[in-house]
Amino acid sequence: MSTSSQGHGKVSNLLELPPEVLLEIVNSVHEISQSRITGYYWQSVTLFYHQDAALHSLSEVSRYLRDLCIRVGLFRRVHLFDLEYRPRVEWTGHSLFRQLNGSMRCMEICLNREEDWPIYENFLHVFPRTEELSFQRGTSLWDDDQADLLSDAIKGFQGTSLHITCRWDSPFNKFLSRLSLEKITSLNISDGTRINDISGDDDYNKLPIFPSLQKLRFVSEADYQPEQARHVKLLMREAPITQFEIEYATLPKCELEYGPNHRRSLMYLEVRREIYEGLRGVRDTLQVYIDQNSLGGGTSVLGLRFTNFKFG
Amino acid sequence: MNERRSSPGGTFHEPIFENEAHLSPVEFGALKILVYKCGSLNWLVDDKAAWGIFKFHSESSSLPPHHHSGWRYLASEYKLFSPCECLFLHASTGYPEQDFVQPTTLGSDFDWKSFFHNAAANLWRCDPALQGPTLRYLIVGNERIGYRGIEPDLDKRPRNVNAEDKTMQYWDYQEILPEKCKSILSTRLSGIWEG
Repeated sequence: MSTSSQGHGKVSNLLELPPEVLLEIVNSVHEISQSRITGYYWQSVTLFYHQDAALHSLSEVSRYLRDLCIRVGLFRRVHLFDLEYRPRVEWTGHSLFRQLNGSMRCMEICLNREEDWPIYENFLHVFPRTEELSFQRGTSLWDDDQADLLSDAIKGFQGTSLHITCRWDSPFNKFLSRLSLEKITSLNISDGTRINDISGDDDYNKLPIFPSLQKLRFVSEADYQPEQARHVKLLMREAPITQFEIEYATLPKCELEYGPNHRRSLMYLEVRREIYEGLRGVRDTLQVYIDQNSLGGGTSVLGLRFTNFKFG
Repeated sequence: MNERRSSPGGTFHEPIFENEAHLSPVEFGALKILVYKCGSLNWLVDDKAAWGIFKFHSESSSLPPHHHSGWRYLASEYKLFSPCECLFLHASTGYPEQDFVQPTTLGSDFDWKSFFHNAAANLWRCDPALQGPTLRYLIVGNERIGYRGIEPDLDKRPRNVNAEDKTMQYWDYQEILPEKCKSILSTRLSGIWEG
């Protein structure tokens, strides 16, 4: 990881400072980080507000110190923001600031911010028991080189759960194949997942196999349900699934209102067919089947009012 | 997508499984529980299209039969996953008119008798050629409102009823104590369900 390897000696020196000084550094980094995002164009701002070539850019210094703080567990809470001022991810450490026994259940991976990827290695180093990786919706990897880079950054992941809402295309497929998929026991395919560039029947054979997958959750998205369902069906191959959970985006409507060949009804049936075909393949291991919302579909107007309710 | 016609007495997805041999039901031998979430339980009390209980037609018009029966849907779902022993209806609330109020009970006016009667008429409606119902438990509720359930009363002989040109057996039911309902659920959902 480039940031930590370049700055390893500096990290050692900084650690010799008294903790209160380090805490000051943390506070300063945090304040600067907060102020920089309110700047007109943060990438042009330097430490002394001039374009002095001898100085590091503020973003560079900030990133370096941020990595340092994370590496030594010297933080209570970290917020990262993107350029649209939306809180993107948060990690919580110990109230004493300096320790390594904080917890991080899920680490959210932003596929379109390559500059953030090195920090993932640090977090996984500090929190080796991170249980889940989550891949944000609406994003994907550019190419296979990026797939290699990201898989290097998270090679320390030892968890068992993946939550996927991003675009699932060939580079992402390649990235997944680099993970230790034999450790993955839980897979959550949520409504942002789009399948691109792997649409042909033969190409589906390129989808990774999850040989230890036990828990599969599928939340479909209205416009992509059939493709998603085919995808999910194929992910069940060779998997010892014990629990399957589904939430439909589109449910059938009563014949009196729309007729049996209405698009909604046909789409629901297509999804139903694909999923059931997949479930038949795991009939010897499946122990729990959870249906989030189909009881309302085509059966009751009242039932439909609750289709978006999330359990728990 | 194939052109599809729904059967008058069926549900939306029954035609698929009736017409496509490769999707015919298979035995899910390890399946312990089927969980279906629903918003309210009241609409299942008022289900007017359940088998053998009411005439299967729209009450408000002379239009053809429809699919407004949650019980019929559940019965056809169960057929796909038999011989699972337990069906759990997880209700988010007992009062559809109060979406944002989460009651702690279903209320004394909830018509459990009609609810269970509809359930038994649909879920324990068997072909006489079979060896009785494979579904053992129907459990309803959630952590807030509590759990209630029924099981077929196997000590009583089933009633033979002619309906929709077929003779079917209907099994009577008996209630399961709430403590036992919870125990049945926790046995099957331990470590999985947080509701």
